[in-house]
Amino acid sequence: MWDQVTLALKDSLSRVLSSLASFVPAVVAMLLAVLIAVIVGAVIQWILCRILYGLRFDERLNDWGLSAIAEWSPGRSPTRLVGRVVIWGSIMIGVLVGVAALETTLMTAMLSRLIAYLPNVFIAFLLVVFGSVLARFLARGVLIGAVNLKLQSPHLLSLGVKWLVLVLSVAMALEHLSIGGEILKLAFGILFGGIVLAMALAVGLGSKDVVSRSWERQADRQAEPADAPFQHL
Amino acid sequence: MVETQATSDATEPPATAPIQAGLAVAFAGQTTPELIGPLLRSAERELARGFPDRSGVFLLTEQDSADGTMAAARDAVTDPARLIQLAAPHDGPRAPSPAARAQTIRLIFESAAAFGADALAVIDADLTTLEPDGIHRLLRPVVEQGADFVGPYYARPRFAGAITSSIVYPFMRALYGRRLRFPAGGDFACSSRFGKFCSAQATWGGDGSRIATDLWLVHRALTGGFKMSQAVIGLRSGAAADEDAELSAVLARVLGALFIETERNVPFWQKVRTSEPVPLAGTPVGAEKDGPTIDFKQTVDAFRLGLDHLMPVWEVVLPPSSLHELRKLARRTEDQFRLPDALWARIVYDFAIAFHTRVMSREHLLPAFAPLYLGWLASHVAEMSGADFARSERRVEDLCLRFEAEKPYLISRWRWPDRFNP
Repeated sequence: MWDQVTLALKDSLSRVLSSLASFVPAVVAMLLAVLIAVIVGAVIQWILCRILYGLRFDERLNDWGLSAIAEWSPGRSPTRLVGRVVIWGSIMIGVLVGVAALETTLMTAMLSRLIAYLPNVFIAFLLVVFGSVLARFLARGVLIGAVNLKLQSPHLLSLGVKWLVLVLSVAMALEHLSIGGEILKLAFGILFGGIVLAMALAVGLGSKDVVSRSWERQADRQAEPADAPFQHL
Repeated sequence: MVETQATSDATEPPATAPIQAGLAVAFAGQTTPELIGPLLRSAERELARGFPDRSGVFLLTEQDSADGTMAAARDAVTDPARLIQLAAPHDGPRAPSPAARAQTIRLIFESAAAFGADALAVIDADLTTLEPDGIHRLLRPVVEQGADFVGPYYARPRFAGAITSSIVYPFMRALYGRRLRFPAGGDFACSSRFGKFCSAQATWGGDGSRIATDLWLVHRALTGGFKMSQAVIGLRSGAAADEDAELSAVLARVLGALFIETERNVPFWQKVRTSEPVPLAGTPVGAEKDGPTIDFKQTVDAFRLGLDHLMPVWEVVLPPSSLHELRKLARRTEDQFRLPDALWARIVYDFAIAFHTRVMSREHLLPAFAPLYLGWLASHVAEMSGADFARSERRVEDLCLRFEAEKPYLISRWRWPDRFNP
C-alpha cells in the first residue's frame, strides 16, 4: 500500500516537474522575445527619430497645416510620437511572439482576430486625423470670416465649429471600431441635438431685442436713400 | 447700321474687317442711353480734333438691347458704320459677367488689330467720368511718342482708392521700379504691339475678374519692356460690380493678383533697385467733392477686433517685432494712432512672403489681412484729416519711398524665409 502511494507521488512529481521543464523554456522564450523586441524597437526608434529630425519633420508638418498632431504629441513633437508608436508596436509584436511560444492555439485565435480588426483601427485613425485637420481649417476660416464681419464673439463661433467637427469625427471613428454601439449613437444624438437646441434658445431668447432692432434698422435703411459706399479700390 | 462683330455664342472677331481705322476707342462695361451718347460724341470730336489725319472706329461691348443704349449710340456717331458692337461674354441671360473682363479685353485687342488700329483706348464707360480731352490725352502718347501702354491718372475724392494708395501703388512701384500712380485703373491706351503681345499669351492671369485682369495687363507692360506713360483723364466715380463685394473679398482679390505676379516675376523685380517716373500728360488734381467719410472709431474697432482674435493667424505670418508694434498701436488714442510706414511696408511684404511660402491656406491668409488694412486706413484718416490734395499725394509719396527702402527686407526674406526673422 505504501509503495503504491509512493509510486503515485513519484508519478505526480514527475509529471509536474516535466510540465515545469517544458513550460520554463517557453517563459524564457517569451521574456527573450520581449527583450529583443524592446532592443530592436529602441534601435529603430533612434534611427527613425534621427532621420525625422534631420528632415525637420515637425516644422514641415506645421507648414502643411497639420499642427493639430503636435498638440497631441509628447513634448509637442510629432517625431517623438512616431518614435513612441514604433517602440510600443515593437513591444507588442514581442509579446505576441512570446505568447505564441506558450500556447499556439490561443495565439492563432488572437492573431486572426487582431488581423481582422486592424483595418478598422487604421480607418478610425484616418478619420480622427482627417477630422482634426478639417476642424482646424474650418475653425480658422470661421474665425477670420467672423472678424471681418465684425461679429463680437468670433472665437466662440470658431471654437464651436472646431469641437462640432472633432466630436463628429471621433464618434465616426468609435463607430468604426464598434465601440459603444447604440449608446454612442444615442449619446451623440442627444449631445448634438442639445447643442443646437441650446443655441436656438440662446439666440431666440437672448437676442430677441437685438434681432428686432436689426430688422427695424434694415427697414429704415430701405426707406432712406442709401449712402454711397466708401471706395476702397 | 450697327455691325455686330461677334455674338454671345461666338466671340471670335473676323480675321479681316470691312473697314480700316488707325485708331480704336473701346467702351467696356454696361452703360446707359444717357451716358453713351455724350461719351461717343465727345470721343468722335476729340479724335477729329486731336488726330485729323487718322480715322477712328468705336468698339462697344454688347449692351442691354431693351433700354435703348445701342439706339442712342447709333444716333450719337456721325458714321454708324464705324460703331462696332462686340458681344460680351455672358454668364447669365442678359448681363455680361464681371468675371469675363479678361475675355472682353482680349476680344477688344483682337478686334482693334483686325481693323488695323495702331492705337487703342479702352474706357470703363460706366465708372469713369472723362475730362473733355481725356481720350485724346490717353491716345496721344501712343500716337505721337511711341508709348506702348498709357495708364490713367484719376481725380479721386479724398481717401477714396485707399487700397491703391496704400498697397497696389507702393508695392508695384517698389517691385517694378516705375511710378505708375493708378496701376489698377480700368481705363488705358495701348499700342498695337502691346495688344498683339497680350493676345498672343496663352493664359490671361488671375480669375478673369476686372481687378485681376487690369493688374495682369499692367504687369505685362511693366515686365515686357514696353514704353509706358500715364495721362490725367478724369474722375473715377464708381466701384465695379465685382469690386462691390465685402472688403475682405476685394482685398483678397487684389492681393491675390499682386502676389501671383510677384511669384511670376521674381527674376525681374529682384534686380530693380530704385524707381523711375513715368511721363504724365496733364496736371493732376483732386476731386472737387469729398467722397463718403470714414468712421474712425468703427475702423479702429475693426482693427482691434482683428488684433484680439486673429493673433494665432498673424503670428504665423508676421515677425514678433511687428506684432509687438501692432499691440502698442492698438492701445493708442486717436491723436496718437499712427501706423509707421516702415511697419506697414513690412506687413505687406510679410504677407507676400507668406503667400509664396504657403504657410497656410491662401483662402485664409488673404482675408486675414483686412483688419490690418483697416488699421492703416484709420491711421491715414487720423493723420490726413484736413489735408488738401497736394499734401495727401506727398504723404503717398513718402509711403512709396518707405516701401522702396524696405525692399531689401522683402528680398532677404524671399530668399531665406526661415533664417531671416528680425
